Amino acid sequence: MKMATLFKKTLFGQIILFGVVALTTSAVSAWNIEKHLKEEFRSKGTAIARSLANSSENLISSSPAETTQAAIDQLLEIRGVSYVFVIDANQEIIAHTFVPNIPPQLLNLKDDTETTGNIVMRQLQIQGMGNVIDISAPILAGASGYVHVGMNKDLILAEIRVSVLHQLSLMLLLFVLSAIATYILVKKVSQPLSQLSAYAEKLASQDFSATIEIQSQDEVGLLATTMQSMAKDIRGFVGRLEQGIQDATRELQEALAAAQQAEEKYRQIFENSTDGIFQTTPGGQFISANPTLARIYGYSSPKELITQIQDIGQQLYVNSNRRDEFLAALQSHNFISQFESQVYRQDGSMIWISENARVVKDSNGTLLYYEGTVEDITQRKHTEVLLQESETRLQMQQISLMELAKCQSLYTGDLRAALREITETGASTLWVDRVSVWFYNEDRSKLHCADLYELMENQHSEGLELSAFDYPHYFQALEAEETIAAEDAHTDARTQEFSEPYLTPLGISSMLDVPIRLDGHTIGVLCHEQMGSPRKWMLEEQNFANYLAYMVCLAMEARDRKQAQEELRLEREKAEQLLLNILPEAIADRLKQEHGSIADSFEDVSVLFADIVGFTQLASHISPRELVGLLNQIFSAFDQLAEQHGLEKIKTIGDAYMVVAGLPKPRTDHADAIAQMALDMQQEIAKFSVVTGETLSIRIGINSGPVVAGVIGIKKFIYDLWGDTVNIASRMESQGIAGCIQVTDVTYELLKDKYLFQDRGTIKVKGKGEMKTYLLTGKITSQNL
Amino acid sequence: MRQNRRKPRRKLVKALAMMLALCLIMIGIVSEGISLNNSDFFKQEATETKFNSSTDANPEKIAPIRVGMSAAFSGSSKALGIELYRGSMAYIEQVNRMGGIQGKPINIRVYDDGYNPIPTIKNTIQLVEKDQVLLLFNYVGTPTVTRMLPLLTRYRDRHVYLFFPFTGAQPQRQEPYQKFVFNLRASYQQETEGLVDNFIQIGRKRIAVFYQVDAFGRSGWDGVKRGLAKYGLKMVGEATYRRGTPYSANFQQQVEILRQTHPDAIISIGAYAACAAFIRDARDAGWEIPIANISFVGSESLLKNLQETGNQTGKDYTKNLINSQVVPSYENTALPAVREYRQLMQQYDPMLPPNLKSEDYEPLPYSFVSFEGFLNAKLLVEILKRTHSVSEITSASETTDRVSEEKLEIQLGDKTSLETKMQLPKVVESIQDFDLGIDAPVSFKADKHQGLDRVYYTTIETGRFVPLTNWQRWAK
Repeated sequence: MKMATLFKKTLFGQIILFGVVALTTSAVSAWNIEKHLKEEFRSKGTAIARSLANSSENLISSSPAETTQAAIDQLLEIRGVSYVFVIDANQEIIAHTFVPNIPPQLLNLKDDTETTGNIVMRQLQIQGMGNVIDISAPILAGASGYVHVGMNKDLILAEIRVSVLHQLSLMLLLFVLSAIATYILVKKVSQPLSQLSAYAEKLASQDFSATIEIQSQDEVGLLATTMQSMAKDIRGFVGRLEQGIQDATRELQEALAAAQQAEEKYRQIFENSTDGIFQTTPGGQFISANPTLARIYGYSSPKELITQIQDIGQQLYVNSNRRDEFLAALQSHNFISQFESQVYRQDGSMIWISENARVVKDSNGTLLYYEGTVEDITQRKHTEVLLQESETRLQMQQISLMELAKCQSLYTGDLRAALREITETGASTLWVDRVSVWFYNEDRSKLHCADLYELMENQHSEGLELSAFDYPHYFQALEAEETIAAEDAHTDARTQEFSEPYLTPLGISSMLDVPIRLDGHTIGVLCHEQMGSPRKWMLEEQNFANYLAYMVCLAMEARDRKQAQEELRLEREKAEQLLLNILPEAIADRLKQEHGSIADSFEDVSVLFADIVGFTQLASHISPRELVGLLNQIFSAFDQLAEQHGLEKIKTIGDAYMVVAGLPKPRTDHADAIAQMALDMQQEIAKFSVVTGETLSIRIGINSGPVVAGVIGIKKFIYDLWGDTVNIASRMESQGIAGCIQVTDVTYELLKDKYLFQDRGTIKVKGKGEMKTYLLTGKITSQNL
Repeated sequence: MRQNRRKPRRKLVKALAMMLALCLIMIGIVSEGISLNNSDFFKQEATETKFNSSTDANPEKIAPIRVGMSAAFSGSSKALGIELYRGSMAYIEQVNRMGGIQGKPINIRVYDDGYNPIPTIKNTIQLVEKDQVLLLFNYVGTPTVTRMLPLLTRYRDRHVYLFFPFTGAQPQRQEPYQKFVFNLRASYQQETEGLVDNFIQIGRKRIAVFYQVDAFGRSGWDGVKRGLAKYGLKMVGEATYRRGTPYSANFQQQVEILRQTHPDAIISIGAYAACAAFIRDARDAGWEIPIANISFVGSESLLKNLQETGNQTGKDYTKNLINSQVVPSYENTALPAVREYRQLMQQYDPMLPPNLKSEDYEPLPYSFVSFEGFLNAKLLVEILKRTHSVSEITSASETTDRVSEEKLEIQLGDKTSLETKMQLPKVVESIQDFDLGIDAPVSFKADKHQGLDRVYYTTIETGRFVPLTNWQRWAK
């Protein structure tokens, strides 16, 4: 500080000094330069003019104009020369250097130069050139003319400007350097001074321990030594004075101490009591309070408590009527105990207290104040509340469990629905963000999520997988069949490994995972994941989770049962289907019920026999296995056609196929159906010809009439037909033509309106004699009608 | 104690010394800055003269006949140097192909002076002292030639002669330089006086001059002055411009100065860029006065500039222009020299040596300048032929001892060239009524080193220079 002011003063002085020096030197040098340059320009100009004038004595008279011009052109290159021109004896300008023309001012000059024979200088101001010194020199004393040289005066000013600028910048630099030097010097000088003043200040504040380190031999050093010896004297004097005061004080203190000791004893009790002790006025103010009370109420000292609480009823009790109840109770009994209330601490938090108090009256019986003790019972109260909450939760959980138990999906075997119910119940009862069910895979190396319920989104999902390889500790804990209740899942040893890949991205903080056990094995895990702030898992919550895990087992058992039932049913159905394939359904049913043989008569049926022509030849050049394969394909196709048309396939005999229409359920259009079947079979066999490359065709015979159908025997049941109708149908085939459908006239009569026929005439049928037969060629359609 | 006291004093001394050093450094920097600028200036001038080239006409080891040329190949008058060179080269190329002069090719050693006197002087010294040319040839410009003339006096003993400079100025036609210079073209005085005579004949007596403020401009100015003085008249106004002013410059001031003097005609003595710009600004100001330019202007370059501006503005700047020429029109194919010129120009289309090439210059197919260059070369070849036949005898007698080919060449070169040089004036002066093929005989005398005197007047019609036959159209 001191140095700064000192430096400022010096700096100010320097600025003024340098300013004056800079201005005066600049002015002087400007003046000098101007004088010298002017002189130089004048002499230069004069020299040029004179030399040109002398040389022109010859030039003008004898040389061409361009020689004169060339001579003056060179002069223009001399610094400071603005123009040159030459006037001849006729006062005419014979050469000049002006562009674009000779300034009119200079044209008027010639009259003046005429009068004098010597060098003349003029100060001129010429438009476009500025200030010029015009120097004229006579040629042959003016007889041959004059030479004029113009020197640029502005150049002088420019020179001055540049040099003054240089000078000023040098001055500025010097100023800056000297300012820096001054700063350093002033700092050197002022350091001991400021040390001295600091020392003096310390002495003034009676700090005699201070010393000073100035050793120099100059005035400052002398001052320092003098001050130090002075300080020593003062220190001795003050020391004696203080000793006297101390003695007097000690005596006084001893007397006081005795009196205080007695009081102190009571005070100890008051202050060290574990209960808070108070005295309050009926108006609601504290008279006194012990430190324990202050601590209970959250004040730093009893004093603070007393001054800050001015109305106990309003400021202290949470319920403002409580003070009135307190006073009313005291008034009636003069004494009150276990008076429990909720009060505010200083920081606004609430605590529970229990008060014992009594009224203090004077000898006249007038009320003086109340006094009593306060106990902090918050902890007790808190435990009570927790217990209550726990009970409530238990109740709720029980209700939830009962609700869940009523749920049908748990028993119907629909595991998926059951898991959904369980996870939803878990989430809503425990109020957990995510509840999920996971099952082990077969080698127990992975957990597969069967259902995940997210409470906030109210949505289910599944399919996640956890690998034992990635989370060894977690899997280990599950194998130990323990419940994992991790309040802080990020740090818990069992769930820590989830922290980065799983917990942090989802914002999960706490986990409660219970194993699902079935038949004494852990088969999966029920996970509860809490997002946001961590949560402590209560024991009853853990139990509830275990119940839920048990529920999962129940659901699984239900599912397994259901599956077993289903399998049983399927088995039975399969067996039934098998029977149906052999026997018509109605027959099979009857066979099942009646036992024994069945033989029914049917009046109107159509029987079809088909034989594959050329199959025997085929058998000679392909293997039997291939042959049977081909046959199977063809007959399978025929079976399908029979089913389409609602016909009953009876049997195959070698490469022959037998099918009937009109039984076991009678139908009127039996002939129509069998005719359609025959046409379709022809088409089908044609397809096979294309596929195999062999020329296959079938011979078909059809007959209609009554038959007897039934199952006879006790083994290898087969539904078969008997009767003449069947025999004739067989003959129709065996005596038919390859690729044709031969029908009897009985069948023809039934179909003639709908189908196209060709009359085959009569053929000899074995065992029947002559029979009229027809060949079925197609269906009558609107086109071929 | 004593030591303690000394320490600060030493520091003080150190500080003072440092301050002093700093001041000195600063002053040093300031003064060095100034001197640096100066040296830069000189360096630049020096490098300009270093343009160095020679036309390649020396395929065999035969010593060529070397002639030196310094002209404007850069700046606002470069067209003059380039075209003059091209015209000359067209003829020389032909001569060289035909075997040169008794087996020796002619080689023009050429330097650029940018139409400035100082480089011209330096180039001349280079040509004479280093290149040892036989003679100087085809110099361009009055201010340049006027300033190098004293060198010819200086080289009196070396017998250096300047042949056919492209200038009509007086100094090289008068003493003391007349004897060192041989001119082919008529003088500016002849051109300007001819113009003055013609203008006065058609009643245009108020004549103003626009000129380049240097020796060239002054020469023309003086010619006009003398021409008018014959009639007892004076020029009514004059305006100047500085040499090297480009076409892009503004000449409205000059137009205004001359217009205020109400002239009847303007004679313009300058280079094409400035003269064209002056015409442009005069016509733009709506002033249709007849303007006459002299031969040096470079007629085609002038026309080219005006036509380009005309194309941009849509105005015709080529009206009322008169150009005096010192060679006949190259359009006049009745003349054998014109036919030869046109054929050779077309055949060779000579290019500049690579280091003098100008990117933004497009050579003219034909021009008055290149035709003049052609005629210069033709006459030079005639002179060299005549010189050679004389010197051949003398030099042959001295080449008896052969040391080495190279040394011999130098010896021969030195001796023969000095002797040849000495013979030059006599050879030139021996030319009488020589027919260049332009229907004007060329003659030289000891007191008349100018081959031609005729001045031809041309004007522009449909973008071409045609002979001016009818001055009456501008009669007043």
